[in-house]
Amino acid sequence: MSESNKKISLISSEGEAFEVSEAVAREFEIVAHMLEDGCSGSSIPITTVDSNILGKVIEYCTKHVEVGNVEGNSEKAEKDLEEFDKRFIAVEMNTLFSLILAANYLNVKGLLNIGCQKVADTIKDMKPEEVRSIFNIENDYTPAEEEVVRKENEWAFQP
Amino acid sequence: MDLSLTIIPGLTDDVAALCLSRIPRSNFRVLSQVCRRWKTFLRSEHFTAVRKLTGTVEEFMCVLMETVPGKKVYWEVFDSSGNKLGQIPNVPGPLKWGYGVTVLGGEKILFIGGYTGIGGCVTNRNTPLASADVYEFDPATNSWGKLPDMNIPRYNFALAEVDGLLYVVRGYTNDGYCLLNSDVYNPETKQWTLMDCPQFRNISGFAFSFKSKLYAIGNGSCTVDVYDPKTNTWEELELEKSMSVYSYTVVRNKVYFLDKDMPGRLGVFDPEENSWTTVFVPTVAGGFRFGVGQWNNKVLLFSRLSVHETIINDFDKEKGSKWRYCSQIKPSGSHLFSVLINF
Repeated sequence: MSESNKKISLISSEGEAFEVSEAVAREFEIVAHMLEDGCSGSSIPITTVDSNILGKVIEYCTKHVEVGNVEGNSEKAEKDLEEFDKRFIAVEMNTLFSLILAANYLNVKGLLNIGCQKVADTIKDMKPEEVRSIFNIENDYTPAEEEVVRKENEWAFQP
Repeated sequence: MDLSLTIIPGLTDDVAALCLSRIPRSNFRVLSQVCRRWKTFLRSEHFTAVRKLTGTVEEFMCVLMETVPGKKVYWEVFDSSGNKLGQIPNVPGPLKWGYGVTVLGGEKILFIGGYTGIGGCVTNRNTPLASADVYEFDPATNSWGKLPDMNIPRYNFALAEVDGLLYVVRGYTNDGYCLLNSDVYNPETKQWTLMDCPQFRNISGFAFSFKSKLYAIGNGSCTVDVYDPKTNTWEELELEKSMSVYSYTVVRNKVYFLDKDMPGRLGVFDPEENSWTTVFVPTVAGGFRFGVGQWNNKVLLFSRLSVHETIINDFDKEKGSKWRYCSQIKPSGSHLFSVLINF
């Protein structure tokens, strides 16, 4: 019991401490590795993630640990979790990017997956000009080049 | 970091690659219009590797078809939603007949042997020139490369992959000689070896793999020849009547085939039960002749004459066999061969 009750402090880039259970902290693979490598300290600095985003990532991990601990009725739990994920990821693009970058850095695979999927789903049916505008990408084609690319239909498998 | 060089401003390139890797290939054509960087990136081998790593490969049906028989032949690609992705390049070399087409390792198309030179018609006056050439299509480079030649040039053979080895069974060679051997290809060593086959009456036909054994059925013969690579032995299974199969596919361990002597019906062989049955096939204007293929684990029948029309059957255990029109797959020419690749 003492293991699972152990608390760990995660310190955001602003120096704010977030106290979480070890089980939640272990959802951050980067933290799990540190603990396995014998890092015994009870506070771990997460210097590249700010308080707002760190708080959200902890919220995500806490929910997933909680649901993982519930026994029985797994179908309902899974559905709940799916709903939670959907709501969790329904944020504006800047926040989504920050969450994805944090998930990638902290190695929270589930969050990284749903974040990347959200970006993919957002842009997959967009027109090129819509993609440029939401991501602030410059169109570096000359009008003539753009015309050529637009007309290209031999696109089975690229090169 | 120079923002103009990143794929998605605000994301690192490795993470942007993870995001883009989850987009279906059918969207790539439009997304490549975003900017030069995207176009180059979506076409890169690195990106293909990322897709493989994140498990977002898709299944594509590549259909070899012709619009002018014996003249214009090309490949058309469909994804699992039925989106037409365009064409892939033609197989190098002169137009051939009697070749074999298969997929190795789920990803690469192999185009094997065949004959050239006489307009597709083998008669007594003409002698076909058999080919030992083997070409491999790699979707990652969108190009055909040449593999080592078979030991013997051959055409009208049967073809199947068993546990990673490719068996090119029997067939004919130059001067119309029947071959009583098989060329066996090992993709790991990239080598062909010859293997003797027992005496058979007829040569062309079809082959498939079931439970690590090679099943070969010669057209006109009343036996199935089963080869077990583990023991290097052949055995014969009796058939009720001789076969004359011109198109077939294997879906979920059952073989679906069209036989010249069974117009209007599709044959089904279940090797597990050793049972042979047939199901009715609806007619189309112009007659019975179809090509069999598969798509999304369902059996697809192409029409040779009304080319845009395909019909599909789930062969679902509970619902039984039921044909319906497949509105998503509308090939632009008549079907010669179709294969599935994962890419």
